[in-house]
Amino acid sequence: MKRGGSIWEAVSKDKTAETSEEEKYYKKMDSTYGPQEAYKRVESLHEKILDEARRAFIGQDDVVEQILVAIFTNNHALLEGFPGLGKTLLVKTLSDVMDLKFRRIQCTPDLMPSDITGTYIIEEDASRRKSFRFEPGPVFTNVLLADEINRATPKSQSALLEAMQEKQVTIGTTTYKLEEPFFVLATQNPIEMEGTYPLPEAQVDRFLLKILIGYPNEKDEDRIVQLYTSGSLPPVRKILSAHEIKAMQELTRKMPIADEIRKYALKIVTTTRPVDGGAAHRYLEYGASPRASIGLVLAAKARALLRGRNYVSKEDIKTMAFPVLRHRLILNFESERKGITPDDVIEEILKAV
Amino acid sequence: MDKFTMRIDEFRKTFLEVRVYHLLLNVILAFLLFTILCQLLGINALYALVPAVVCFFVLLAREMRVRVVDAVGKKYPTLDEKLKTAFDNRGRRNVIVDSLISDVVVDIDGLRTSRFVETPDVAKRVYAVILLTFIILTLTMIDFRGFDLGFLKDRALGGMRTVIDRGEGFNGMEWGRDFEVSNYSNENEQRRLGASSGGEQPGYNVGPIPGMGGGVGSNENPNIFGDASSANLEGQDLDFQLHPEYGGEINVDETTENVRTEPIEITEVESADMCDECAIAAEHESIVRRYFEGLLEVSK
Repeated sequence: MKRGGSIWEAVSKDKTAETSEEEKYYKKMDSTYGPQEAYKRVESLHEKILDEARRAFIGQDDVVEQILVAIFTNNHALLEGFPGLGKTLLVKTLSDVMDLKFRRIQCTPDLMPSDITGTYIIEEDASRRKSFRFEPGPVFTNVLLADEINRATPKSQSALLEAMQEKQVTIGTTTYKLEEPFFVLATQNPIEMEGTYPLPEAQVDRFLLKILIGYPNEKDEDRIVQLYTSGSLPPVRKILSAHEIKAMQELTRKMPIADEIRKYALKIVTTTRPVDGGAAHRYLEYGASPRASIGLVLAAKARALLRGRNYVSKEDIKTMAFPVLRHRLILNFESERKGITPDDVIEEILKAV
Repeated sequence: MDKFTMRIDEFRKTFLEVRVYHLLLNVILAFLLFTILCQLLGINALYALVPAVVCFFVLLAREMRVRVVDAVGKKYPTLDEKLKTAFDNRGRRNVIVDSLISDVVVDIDGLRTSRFVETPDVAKRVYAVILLTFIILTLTMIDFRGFDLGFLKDRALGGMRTVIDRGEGFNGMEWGRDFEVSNYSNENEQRRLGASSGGEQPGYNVGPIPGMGGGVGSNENPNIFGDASSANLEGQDLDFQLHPEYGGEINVDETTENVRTEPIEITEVESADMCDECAIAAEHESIVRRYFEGLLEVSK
């Protein structure tokens, strides 16, 4: 299999002079900027990012924090919320704040895998010689928003699998490496389930977090109305660069965790397995996989880093248990009949552990 | 050795000193309790050292298993996770771990060892030691026979089976008229107890319970001289009793039938002349004759 590592260069052929200047700056940053420098900034970073995000997206600080957790752990997130809550706006805003390239795919039943990954097109050069040229799809970006992912067919959904897991795309016999950082932030609509294709378990498991976006409170909604009905939106400033994000990802993995806290996280995940009895046995058909254990510890580390701490606390594990586990727990028929949600089960498990 | 490990080691030593102080108090308490138990059971008090020593080693083993970081975490909950994380990752080196360790070293310097001395707990133990010491002294100085639980030991040695068969168990002492101290007392005690128990102090066990009244001088028996006591004179069982109305003379009464083993029979009176060794002076002959004649009459 041939490795086509230069695809990003092909994509950025049309870059402006300004972008080239940016690249030079980042190259300079790359040689000097490391975890040491990133760690010095980390304490103030969280508040700064939240402040910038609040310019466009009001009253959802928890959601912003969870998306940052997914990014800092080099993972993907699934956003679920009713229409009109600003999911797409949030992802776009965060891409701007972090100075990342942003692409969006609107998933529909007729979306083809090649619409995501890209395809070969016939190109004629000056000597009228025809050749195939690869036209990269929207997946070649830093932040990919797959809007209403459950409306795409399973074939199209699975086209994202390799990109999400391996951070690469294989077209024909050629594999193209995606530029890092690469995140897929997919949105789902919990209503209007007709004509949708629920994500298969294998694909759901690849999302580190399932983030629920709820309605804003009255005060926040009033601010949203004022913001979007009076003139133009204030521009958001760039707070983080791609290099800084990579440094943060490195720092996240270096975050120390006490043995006791790690065992606590493992206990939570293993308790979700119905074989262990207890709440899991009553409410669940299937529990979380070891990937969830890894995800929970990583997410807790990223949260600790974002909060400017140099250790992981139990509070981090408890808070991150909900977004990490809620899409990995399969409720049994009885629980669904009673209207019990995965969050209810997680809450009970946290009380029991 | 890095700064963090040094600080932890220093703190561990100080912490251990505090814990050993607590431990010794517990061991002293255990020793005193077992001493009291030994006294009540009539066992040598030195045996109390055995459970106290066992207690010391068991508690010491338990103390050695306690991680100093766990103990600090209990006293300083805000430091708990931080300290444990630093401790578990002390071998690692990176920018975050370094920052954590330097934070924790500062925190450890701010710890006060005095917080690990559980003052109310220590005070309670010290009071308990004083109280138990007082009890031991009281038991040693004052002879509380009524609380002597030595019979438990005797019964235990005699076999639990017998005790169970009798249906007596460990329900305490047998108070009441059937109590007979000679059944439960040892030789040393018997020497000091009443004469009917073969002791040296007549009248002690007169009354329903020894030492519980009804004895000499009590309302139950106004006779200050007590009941008759048995004695054996020349192979003859006699009852002695003091009668103040007769001027304090000692009456030698006839012994009761069941006490007397055989009657004194004087079949032949030998003349003093027949015995050279026991020659009686002439002026005493009549007195001696009257004495023996009197005896003969009494024996009839």
